[in-house]
Amino acid sequence: MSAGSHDAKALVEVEDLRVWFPTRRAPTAERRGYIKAVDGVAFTVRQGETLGLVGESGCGKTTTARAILKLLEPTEGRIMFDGVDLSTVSGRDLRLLRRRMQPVFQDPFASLNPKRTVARIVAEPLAIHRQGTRAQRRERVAELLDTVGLPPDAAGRFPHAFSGGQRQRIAIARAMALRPDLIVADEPVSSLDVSIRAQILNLMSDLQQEFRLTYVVIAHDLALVRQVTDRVAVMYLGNIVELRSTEDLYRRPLHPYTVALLSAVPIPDTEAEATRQRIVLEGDVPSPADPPSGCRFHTRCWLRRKLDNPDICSGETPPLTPIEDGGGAVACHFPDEVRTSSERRETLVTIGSR
Amino acid sequence: MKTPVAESRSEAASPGPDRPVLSVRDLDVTFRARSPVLAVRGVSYDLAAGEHVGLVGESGSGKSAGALALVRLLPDYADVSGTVMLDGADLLRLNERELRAVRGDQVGIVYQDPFSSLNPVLTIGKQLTEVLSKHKGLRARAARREAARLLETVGVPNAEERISDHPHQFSGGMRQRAVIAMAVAPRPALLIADEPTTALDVTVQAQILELLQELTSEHGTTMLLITHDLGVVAGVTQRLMVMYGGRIVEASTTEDVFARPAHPYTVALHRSLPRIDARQERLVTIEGQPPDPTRPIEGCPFAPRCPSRIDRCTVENPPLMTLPTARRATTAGWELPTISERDGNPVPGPASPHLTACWNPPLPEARSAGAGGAG
Amino acid sequence: MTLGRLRRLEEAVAPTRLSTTLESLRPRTFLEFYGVAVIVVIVAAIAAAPLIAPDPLAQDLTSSLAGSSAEHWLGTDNLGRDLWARILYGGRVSVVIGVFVLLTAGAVGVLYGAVSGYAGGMVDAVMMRIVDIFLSFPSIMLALLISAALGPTIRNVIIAIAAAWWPVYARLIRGQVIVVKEREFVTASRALGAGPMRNLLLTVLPNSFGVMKTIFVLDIGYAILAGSTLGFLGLGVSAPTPEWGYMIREALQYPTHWWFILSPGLALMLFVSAINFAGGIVTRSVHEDPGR
Repeated sequence: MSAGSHDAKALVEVEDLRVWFPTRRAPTAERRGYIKAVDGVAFTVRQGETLGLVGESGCGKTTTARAILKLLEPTEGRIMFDGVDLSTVSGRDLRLLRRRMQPVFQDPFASLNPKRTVARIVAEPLAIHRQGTRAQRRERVAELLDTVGLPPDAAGRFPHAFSGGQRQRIAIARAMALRPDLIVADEPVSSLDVSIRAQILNLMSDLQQEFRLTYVVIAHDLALVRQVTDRVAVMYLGNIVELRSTEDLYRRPLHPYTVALLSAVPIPDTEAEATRQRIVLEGDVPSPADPPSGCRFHTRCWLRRKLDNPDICSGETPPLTPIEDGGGAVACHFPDEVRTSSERRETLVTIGSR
Repeated sequence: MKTPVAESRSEAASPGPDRPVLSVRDLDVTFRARSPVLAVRGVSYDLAAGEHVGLVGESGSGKSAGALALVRLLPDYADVSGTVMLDGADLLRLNERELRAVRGDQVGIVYQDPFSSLNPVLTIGKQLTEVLSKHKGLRARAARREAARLLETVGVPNAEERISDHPHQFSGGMRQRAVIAMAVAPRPALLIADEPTTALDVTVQAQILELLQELTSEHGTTMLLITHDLGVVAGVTQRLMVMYGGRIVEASTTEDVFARPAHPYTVALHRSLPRIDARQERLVTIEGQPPDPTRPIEGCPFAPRCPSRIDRCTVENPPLMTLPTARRATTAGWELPTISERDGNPVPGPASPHLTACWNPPLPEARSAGAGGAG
Repeated sequence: MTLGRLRRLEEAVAPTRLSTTLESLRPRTFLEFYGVAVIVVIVAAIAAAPLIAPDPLAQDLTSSLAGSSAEHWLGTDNLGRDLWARILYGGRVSVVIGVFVLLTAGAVGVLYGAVSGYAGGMVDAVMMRIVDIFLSFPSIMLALLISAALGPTIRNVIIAIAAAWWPVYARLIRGQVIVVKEREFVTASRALGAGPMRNLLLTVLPNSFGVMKTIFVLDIGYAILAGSTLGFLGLGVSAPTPEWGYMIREALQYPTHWWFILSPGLALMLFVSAINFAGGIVTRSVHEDPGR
């Protein structure tokens, strides 16, 4: 989607965000247990850009998105939206703030109230915020349906009368009703048919250009992320391990986890598939209730094995450090070793990144 | 259940090295509802021993309904007709008891969601040993030892201990490994894998595909891999069948379908995939919606969305035809095949040529341009 | 997985809601037809009672305990009152009890359960313990106690039964609300800035009624039965007003005059069973409702 200029001002600033979910209640702090879904995440979203959040399930990307939307409260840290600290707003101010940021969910079969007509679903935000008369709302609904490419007679029907792609259009129309600044889309196309995905992605891109929208897009499909984002934050076990411009990430990845993700992408090409060498990550993502010490990725890291298990990986948490040449940041003790590794070279050749 | 005898049965049973393990003829699946859903319409194909064949299509294409119908795992309100010959028996005509023996024993199934296909209240070990004692007649202790060994083979670490875990203690990938262990334990002749990696992370997806490939190659098991993701089938299958609107619209070797797609739908599908190798200015879309499965289709199911539609497409449904050779391509387009040239309704099988159900297949240039992936 | 998707496909092509609802409420099986027909006939008859039956309170001791005749179709009771008329007017009482018990208990139970489920936490815990206390009494005992304390009028019978029944609805709806409030469209509504009241009343509740609909319809029958039980035990509607339960009680003293006991008993059985059969339609329509 449209590239946000680099000096654009920050719309969302996330500072040291932690979201812990209690698993065991106990009177003393030591005995309490937590799922550390997000554990110290910091990034900004610039006005007009599309930021991608990627990572395996359980890495905390959805939790981060929900915290930005103030659908759940951070355990620690701060989220600023256009200069306002989200934790300080409530009541009327919060409702005004909600108008400016809207979610689009993964499954349009779940995110639309099945008991309401499309007209009422799309007009709901207007009704909640008491905008316009009934007639004006009806007009606005017609306008919105047209914007997202649905026929006017859709208004009187119920969600179940529509296919997945059309439903996602309805959800987008609802999100657009209050003319928001920010849209947080959690896997907006992964439940849709392959032949429909491109339609929705193009629609989102058109809307971004027309209404100067800022997007935070969560996706697991790395090919898709390359097409739609300007910058990408790669998350692993509640941390950001690499934060780069999209082009840099796909051409010059610097975290072993990013390289592993890229190397796992299935490629619709028989020749590439036949010859490729995949980096196999051993085992599963460890439990966020009891994350590994030091670098959280060290238990599965191919580079650590290759470097003969240096102590620093399990002993010290690598901070997210700015990269000297070029923008972005990476949280790895050995970014230079990643840069020169044959694994990275092979992966980039396989995915044909250019 | 109506089962008209397929006329092409003798042809299906023809001897030879590629004698099919599974032979499907004229499979129709209809879901009875207020407006009946015609999920699968006249699908025929052969699978040879040890082959890995991909069945690709989006939701509503009939790919899953067609595969589950083979072993009659569809709900009561599904009407299935046609013939499904496996090892000399028509699966659609077996009684419940005979069918149960076939399921698991001769046909293994791996579902999309590994959580709902395991019983949450039984340990993984218990569920595995049950399969082993039922299909291999192993006694308790032997079955348990075999279960641990199986888990080990499918790549579950500490199998000896983890065998007493419940499914919820396994991660998604591990659960799918356990499900695969159960499916391959009786050494079935055919393994049906229905979107086996869709619910998994990319990092795990590759491993599961590799595992499936390894296990099936080892035992010479035929695998029917059902997926909506062209990326998944590229590395794992030798042949592909592309479904759309309840029909097979293209079938050939995986290589052919990727490098020289011969149906406008396959071409469009390739082009609309987001590419990882470079950023595109704008994604190519396939306009319109998939066909409504409750309405009978006149002509080709893809016609309303097809860029290379001709008049004939909207009135007459194209059957699967051998792709006309290049010499027939004129500047105006393909020379249209006539009925007599259809060489008797070819059926996708191990030795069949490139088949396409299209009156106006894409020209060779357009086809190679449509091939996606890394260049 | 697949079947879910197939279901969605079916949904995707379903016509719009109103016509779907009407279509699905059409009786299909014989029993459903029978149930609806019986209900229609009974309701029509008791509505038209003044036109088709004499005064149910008019006593004529000279012809007490008479059998069927042209004048008294079903005969008379011990005070010579026309049984046909008393059955019809008694039906009115039953219908009023059935409908109003449901409305009262339903309104109280649904509101209570919805608030409890939506609030969650301590509020929910306390509110549900109160429900548990009510549920620990057998409901008919509770109704008997309340009815005995309040006195025998139609209003009090309704209050008594409703008081015994609302906790069941509260429980049911609370369970539904807890499930529905976690669904994504509720989160979507929250993200739009909808407050808790709006969310509960307009988004959560309309999606929590599925199971309740079935139970409501069946319970009309059981409420009628409960009303008659109170009447039979002498704690229902007071004496001169005709009421099926009390009529059976009176008739028990005259076991040889079988028509006397049979007519209210048969009326009760016909009506309640018809409601049960017709209830099947609602169960099915809830099942088939794609938006459930």
